[in-house]
Amino acid sequence: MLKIIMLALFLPVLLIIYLVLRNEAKAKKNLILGVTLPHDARAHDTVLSLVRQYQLALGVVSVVLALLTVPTLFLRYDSVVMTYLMTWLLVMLLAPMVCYGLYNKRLMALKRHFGWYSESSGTTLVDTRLLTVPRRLVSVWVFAPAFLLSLIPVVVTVLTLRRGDEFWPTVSVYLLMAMMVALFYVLYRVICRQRAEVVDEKTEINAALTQIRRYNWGKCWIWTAWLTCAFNIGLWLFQQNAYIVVFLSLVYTGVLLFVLLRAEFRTRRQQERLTADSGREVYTDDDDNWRLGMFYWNPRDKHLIVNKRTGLGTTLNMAGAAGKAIILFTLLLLLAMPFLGVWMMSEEFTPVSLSLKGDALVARHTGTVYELPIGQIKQLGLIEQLPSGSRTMGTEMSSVLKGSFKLDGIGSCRLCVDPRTPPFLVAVTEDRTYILGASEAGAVRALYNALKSTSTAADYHIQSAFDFDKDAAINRAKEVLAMLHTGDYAALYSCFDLETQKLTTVEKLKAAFEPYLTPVGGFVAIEGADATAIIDKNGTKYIQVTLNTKYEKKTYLYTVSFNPELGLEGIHLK
Amino acid sequence: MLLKLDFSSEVPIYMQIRNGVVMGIAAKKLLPGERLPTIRGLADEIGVNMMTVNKAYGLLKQEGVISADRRSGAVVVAGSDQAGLPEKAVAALQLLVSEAKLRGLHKEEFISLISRLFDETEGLR
Repeated sequence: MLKIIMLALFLPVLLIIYLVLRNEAKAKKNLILGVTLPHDARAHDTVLSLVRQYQLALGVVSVVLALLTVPTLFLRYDSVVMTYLMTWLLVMLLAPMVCYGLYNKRLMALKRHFGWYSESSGTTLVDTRLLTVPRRLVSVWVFAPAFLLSLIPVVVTVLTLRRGDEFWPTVSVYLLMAMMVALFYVLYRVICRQRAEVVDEKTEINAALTQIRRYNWGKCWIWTAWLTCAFNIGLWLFQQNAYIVVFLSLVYTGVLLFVLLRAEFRTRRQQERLTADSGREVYTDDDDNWRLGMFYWNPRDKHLIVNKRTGLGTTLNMAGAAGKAIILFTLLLLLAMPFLGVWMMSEEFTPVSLSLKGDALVARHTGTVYELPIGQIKQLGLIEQLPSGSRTMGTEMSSVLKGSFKLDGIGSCRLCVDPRTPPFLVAVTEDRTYILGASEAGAVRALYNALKSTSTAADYHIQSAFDFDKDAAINRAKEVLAMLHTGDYAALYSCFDLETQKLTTVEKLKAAFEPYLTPVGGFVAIEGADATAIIDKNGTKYIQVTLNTKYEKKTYLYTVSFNPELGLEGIHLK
Repeated sequence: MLLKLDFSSEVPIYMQIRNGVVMGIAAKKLLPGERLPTIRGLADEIGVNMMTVNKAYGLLKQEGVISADRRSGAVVVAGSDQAGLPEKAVAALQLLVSEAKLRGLHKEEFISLISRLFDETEGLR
């Protein structure tokens, strides 16, 4: 599953990188492969053949990269897949860039050889007339409503949600989204404040180029802000339905990607068209500031963020301290990716161990160590099966479960087990419950026997909603159903825990049951029944009884829920 | 007008801005009454300190090439009211003539060179 998600994520990225870099072979703003060339030189045979070679090389690199993902389909362990894919990702990001850089160098050599320089090579050109054109920014009120609307989920959640485990994660998601809306406004301002694009002597062309970029990207950020706002509200409205949330996330990501790519490609297409004829007389040539045609290095430029000459969007001026720091950080992050896989491998393949060291029980797995002095263990027991539950914080892999978990019937506990090799040792101390195990078969049982002979700890058994009298629960459910069908609401009323149900009168109780009565109408024969104990995600224990009833040859399924003291929690007709 | 700035040149940037404006006016690429960018806008665009642009504009204003007021910013003056060359420029020309003489240039050659450059300036469009 992991590999399918990863491939679905990474392969489109490869395709985008390929398309974008292939596009660099087309002349745009006097640039081919990041090299400024005069108009005549663009049709020169040597240039054309170099461009063809580049396209071929890029194609080969991309196909090889795509084929290199195939082996992942045959890899078994998640951690190995992760290591492989992370390394692949690194190569996938770098290889096409290396290819581009290589051909950029070759074209630069050609340029030097033929002396294709403009008289303004190495200088900065500023179009003074362009700078006097006022910059038209849309009002902040185009963005403000989106921001305010996206704050609604934050405010409502803060006011209504109970302070618990879910409070901060929920609030921070909504808040992050609202902050993103604000960020898009900042990005909009940045786009409009960016340096004008001067490629040519004609102010109209320069003005149009700059306008095109600002218009397309400005529109893009407005769209993005409103999209994010809509997504935030959608998430909030449908938070209970996981399917809708996943669907909304997919739609949001898809539309966002579309909007961003459309802005970039529209800008490019229009700019290509406009500059198809430029570069005949005066034109900008700042190739010296672009290392390998991609990395901007200009110590004399104070701007940190500059328009990329090639590729998507903007880049950083690496000559500045801030630019250097950000690039270094990104590079370290990139190089660290394969190590993430290596770390995962060490987690997945290191066996879990459990041993007695002196007076303490020691469970160990990589960096995690739980040390329990035997004297502090109050209860001790063996369980053959791990109850179901969820991880609060920690590691969950096929070969190891460790960290904080919340398990049915046990509640919050610390785990350090290999789920493939039962049984597991349960040790309860003053403040915590531990479930410990070992990868080595039989080790836990032997240890348990040894401990049992020395320790004074009491026997442990799961205190859970699973210990209940099934027949009593079923009989009680039958009684409740009978009260419902005979209309004995007063009796039913006494079964309810009124505080939680907030039902104060018999009339309200009647109204609550009406929907369950209408399809049946009268008393029905009970054909089958089964009862199960459930702990819901809030930790409330209750017994759910399913009653199979018959009326006029039709079967109806009722679920009657009780709390452990057999107080009534609710009735549902399925 | 395209202002060309060479950061590797020994001529200071403020001087390059000043020269660029003067040459632009001579070549009729900057027309009388045309507005120049604001100090902040130009400094931002070039990526230099505002003081640099301020210095260039101050110099241009002093020379009567541009006028500057708070409301409309810097504007190219309609026809320089100072006929002839300023003293400083005459001195520079004097030095240039001496240099030409030193390098063995004849008067006619020097004058034809000046004449050609003069025409070129007008024809630069």
